[in-house]
This record gives sequence, C-alpha cells and structure tokens, in this order.
Amino acid sequence: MGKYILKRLGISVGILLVVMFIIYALLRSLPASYVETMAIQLSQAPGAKPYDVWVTQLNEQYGLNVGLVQGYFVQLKNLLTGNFGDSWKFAVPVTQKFSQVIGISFVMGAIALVLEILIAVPLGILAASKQYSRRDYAITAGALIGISLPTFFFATVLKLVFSVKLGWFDLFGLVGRDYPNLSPWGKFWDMAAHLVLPIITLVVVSVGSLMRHTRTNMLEVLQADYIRTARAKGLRNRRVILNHAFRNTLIPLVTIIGGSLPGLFAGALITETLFAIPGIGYTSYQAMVAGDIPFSMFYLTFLAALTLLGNLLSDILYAVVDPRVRLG
Amino acid sequence: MTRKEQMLLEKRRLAKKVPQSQYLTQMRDSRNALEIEELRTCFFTDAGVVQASDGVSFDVPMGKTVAVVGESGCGKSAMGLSVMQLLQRPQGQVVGGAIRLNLGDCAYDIAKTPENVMEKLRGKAVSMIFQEPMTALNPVMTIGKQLQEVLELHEKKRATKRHAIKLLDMVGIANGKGVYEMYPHNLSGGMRQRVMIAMALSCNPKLVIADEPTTALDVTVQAQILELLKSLKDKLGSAVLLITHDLGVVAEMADFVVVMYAGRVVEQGTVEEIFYQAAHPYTIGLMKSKPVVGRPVESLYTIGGKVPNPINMPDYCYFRDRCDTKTEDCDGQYPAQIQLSDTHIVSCYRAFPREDADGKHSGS
Repeated sequence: MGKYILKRLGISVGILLVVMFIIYALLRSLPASYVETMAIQLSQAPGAKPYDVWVTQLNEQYGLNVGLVQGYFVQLKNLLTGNFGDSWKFAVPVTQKFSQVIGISFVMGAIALVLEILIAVPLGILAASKQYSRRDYAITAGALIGISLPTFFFATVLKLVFSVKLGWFDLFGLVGRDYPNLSPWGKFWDMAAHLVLPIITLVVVSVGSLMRHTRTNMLEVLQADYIRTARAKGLRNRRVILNHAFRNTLIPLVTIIGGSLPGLFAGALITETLFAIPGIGYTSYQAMVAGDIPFSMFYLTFLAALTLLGNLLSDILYAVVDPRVRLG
Repeated sequence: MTRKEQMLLEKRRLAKKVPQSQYLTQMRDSRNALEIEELRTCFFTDAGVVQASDGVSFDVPMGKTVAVVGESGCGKSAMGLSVMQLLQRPQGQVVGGAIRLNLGDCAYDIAKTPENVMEKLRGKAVSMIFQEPMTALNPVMTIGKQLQEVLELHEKKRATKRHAIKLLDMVGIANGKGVYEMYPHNLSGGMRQRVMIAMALSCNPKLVIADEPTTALDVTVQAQILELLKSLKDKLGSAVLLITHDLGVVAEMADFVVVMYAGRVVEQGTVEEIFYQAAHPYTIGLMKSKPVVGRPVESLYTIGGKVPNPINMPDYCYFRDRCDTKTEDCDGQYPAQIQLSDTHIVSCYRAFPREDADGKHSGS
C-alpha cells in the first residue's frame, strides 16, 4: 500500500511538471498581455517614453524577454523555492491574495458538496428502489430540471423571488450594510444569510447529476445475482437495499465524489460573480483577463495538483470500499 | 392481460394485512413437500405477455429429488423462482394456479402469500441455490457475515461465529475459520457453491430449489457438489427441486423427472420411466442427443427447428413443427395429459389410445 502510494505520487509529480509547462505556455500566448496594456497606459502620459521602449523595458522587468522553455524553468525554480511572486494585477504577493479569497469559496463549495451528497444519494436510492413508480418519475424529473437550469437563470430567479419580492435576503454581497457594527455572532449570521442563495444555486444546479449517477448505479446493483441471493435468504427489502446494495453502489460514487474535491477550491465563477462574492472563482477570472501570469500560474498549478491528489484519493478509497481491489 | 392487471397483482402481493385464511391451505397429499398445480407465470414485457409457465403441475414428495429438465428458455427457472416468489418484479408475476408448500403442521399457498409473510418462509422453509456461484455472493461482504445473516434472521438467536464455522465444516470446507473471514473473490467456484449450499441448508428447509447448481463448475467439481448435495439432503430430510438441462446430473440425483417444453410439462415420471420408456417425442429427442461413452458418432443428434415465439403461443402441440413423428391428429388443440402409469404422465397425441385398426403408430 505504502509503496503503491509512493509510486503514484512520483507519477503525479511528473504529470504535474508537464501540466505546468502547458499552463505556462498557454498563459504566455494569451492575447491579453499585462505588459502591453501597461505600456500603452504609461506611454500615454505626457512626456513619457514611446510605447516600444516601455514594452522592452517592462518585458525585461517582468521576465518576459526570455523564451518559453527558459521562462518556464525560471518560473519552476521560483515555485520550487517557495517564491510564488507578486500578483501583477493585485500588486500583493500571490499567496496573500489567494488566502484572502479562497476561504469563502471553500466554505461555500464544501457546504454545497455536503448538501449535494446528503440530498442526491438518498434520493437516488429511493428512486431506484422503486423503478418506474411515481416517486421515481418525480425524482428523475426533478434531477433533470436541476441539470437543465443554467446557473445565471436560476440565480436570477432566486434573487427575484427571495430578495426582491419577499425581501428575505440581500440582493448580493457577502456582508450586509451594518456588518462592522455587529457582535461576533451577528457577523456570523449576517454572512451565513448572505450565503444562503448562492449555496442553493450551487446545490440545485449540481445535485441532479450525482442523483442520476446514484440511481443508475443502484439499479444496476439491484439487478445483480447477489441481491437475489439476499432476497432468497428472506431479508426484508429495506435490509437488502441498505446492507447489500448500498455498499456496492458506493464504489462508483466514490470516484465521482473524489473527482469533485478539487472543485472545492476552484470556486464557482458564475455564482460568485452573480452574487458579487469575492471568492477565488471571481478573482481568478479577473487575474486571467488582466493577463496576470504569476497569479494564474499559481492558481492553475494548485488546481492541477489537487486534481491529481483527488484521483489518488479516490483510488485509495476504492480499496477501502471494495475488498476485491488490492493496491500494489 | 394488461399493465393494469399487472399492477393489481403487484398491489395484492405487497398488501400488508392479509388474513391467514387467504393463503393457508391443505395439501392434497400430506406426504408431499410441494404441490404445484396449474401454475401460470407471466412476464409482462413491452412486446407482449410471455407465458413462462403455462399450466405446470407436479408434486415433490418429501425427502425426494425431482429434476426439472428442458432447454434454455423453457420456463424451468421461472417456475423455480415462482416457488420462491423471486421473479423479477413487477414484470414477472404468478397469475394463476397454486403452489402448496408443506410445513408439516400447516401448508402455505405461495401463489397467494403476500410478500411480508413470504419473507419469513424464504431461507427457512424453502431456500434456493443459484446457478452462478461467481456472482451469487455479495462481493463486499465476508463469507462469515453472509452465512450468519441467515441464521440471525430465522433461528431467532444470536448466531455465533462457531455456528457459521460448523456450517462451513458441514459442506466440506476444511479451513472454516479462515474462510469465515474471507471475501467471495478469495474462493474458487466450487468453494463458493459450497458456501451457497451451506447458506441454503442452514435453517433445515423443507424444500431446496437448486437452479442449475453445477452448470458453471468444471466436471470434477460438479461430481463433488452433487455428492455433497445428495448426502446433505438425506441427512436433513429436505426435498430437492433440481432444475437442470444436464441429463447426466438427472440420472445421478433424481427420483422423479419433469420434462418441460415452452412453458408446459410435456412428460413426467420416475427417472427409470423417463430414461427407458420415454413417450414424448421431445423427451426421446433429448435422450438421443446426449453422448454415450463408448459409442462413436460423427455428430450428436439434434432436434431440428426452434421453439415457437413465446408471445401468442398457438393452440396446438408446441412441439408439432419440430416433431419427427407428427400425425394429422397433431393439428388439433394442445394434447391433454395421459396417464401411462401411476407416475408416468405425457401430453402427446401419439400416446392416446387408438380405436381404429391401424392406429398403432410405431414411433421410435
């Protein structure tokens, strides 16, 4: 087991290096060049140096005067020595900006994921245990509606109903107007109230696919011979489903959930933007548009590392739920 | 038969409070462990209704082995699953007839028994051994747990590890303690089938249904498993309903044989009657198509043609179009059953007593 994990980690590092190169190459070829935008601005100042001179000077200053490969190794060396650099767009160290915005995205994503699992798995099992019943049709139709709803539309409808018509929540923002004057508990509740609509949006638009996965897996498991054996023993339907079928359903679900872990850190670009929540999704979007290489590089590398880790994690979890899988 | 009727049957099956008088019954002969009478089992498919068992009747005497033989798709497994009420629901339903199971002090008509009562009978009064030992055990549960589950369910006491290991010993697994902790994928096919047998026999059932118990095993293991089944059956006094298409297994195990074709019983009798005095052309064909050691042949005998479409069966002998010996009588409606001896029954026009002088059709 230990040896297997070490081997997988080694492979992951190799993949990560390649991915980082691709990220760097892509960022370098972005049409939105931070340096050019800045050079235009600087050259327009009265009595300033011409644009070409500024570009050359800035390129040198930002380390863009070298080729792709050389630039990549410079970046790599910086990253490996723990020097992540300063964000060009936000003019603060990358890690500082990142840690400012990641928290809220993570909290939102984690709550949404937990709710999603708590809603999707039981409903999927309920639907599958009585296939083609009214209950099944209702749940499947609900899942389909959730999948089909575009985030921006659903978020807007929620805002219309709960903020505009009912006035229960603020229209957007992470904190209310009186936030600084509130007690610590008041601050907590204020923030929680502002997160309700974004989290509902996230859950509703993503719960459907997990539910359908659960239902399909469960249906497949319920067809299995060992389920018939369990029934032949005289077990009640409830126990057949909970004791015999459920654990077998978990096997594919673990992969899906493991694969969605990096998503916790990816933020939710559209939702965060719609609700004006300063999370990582919104911030990385701003950085990317501005051509902010250090921030984008750090963020994308971080996600790549998480994805690799998530895959490794789900493979290990496989072995935990399924005794037939032996790692090695 | 429509979808509505199927839903009605399903509803009746799942009804919670059903008075005992609805499903308790009397055995016709108290020496029988199981009596099946005019059993009709249907599958409601999108293409139409398939009659998997169409008026099947036979008895399983206590402590005896009755083999049901027939080709694939003839309805023998569906019949077995009907006795367990384990048909793929809601599509598969028992729509008529009676399945009387003798529990000694009382008898249940399984065709009318609701699901919540059936749960108490399954695994205790009647149990089943399935065809595929590879997939019939839950892959994520230890053998011990799967065995203990049955005991805890029916024996009403805290089943212990010792009890489960004793069962493993009973079916000839030497390393009971080790196997107890193992998962199904750690065992060979023969071992798994032994575990299945241990599971099926753990509560001393009155009747064991073995649905092709040896088909998936290689020949040497087959013999061991059959030997085991036979000795345990005698020890526990259970009756066995053996579903198979292997005539060698039938000769080895059975006291009585029921031959099924396209959902109907075409012939039944003692094993000697079926093997030496087969009367139905289908049975004769089956006997001819089995290889005999020491008799070299170019190719084995086959019955030509194929089984008619199970949806909308015609009302004439289902075997007519494949029969070597058909007469003009065979165009008539489905032949009635003829009693050739106390135990030997056949459905064939050729077995009808003839009045005209040259009527004796000399068949095989």
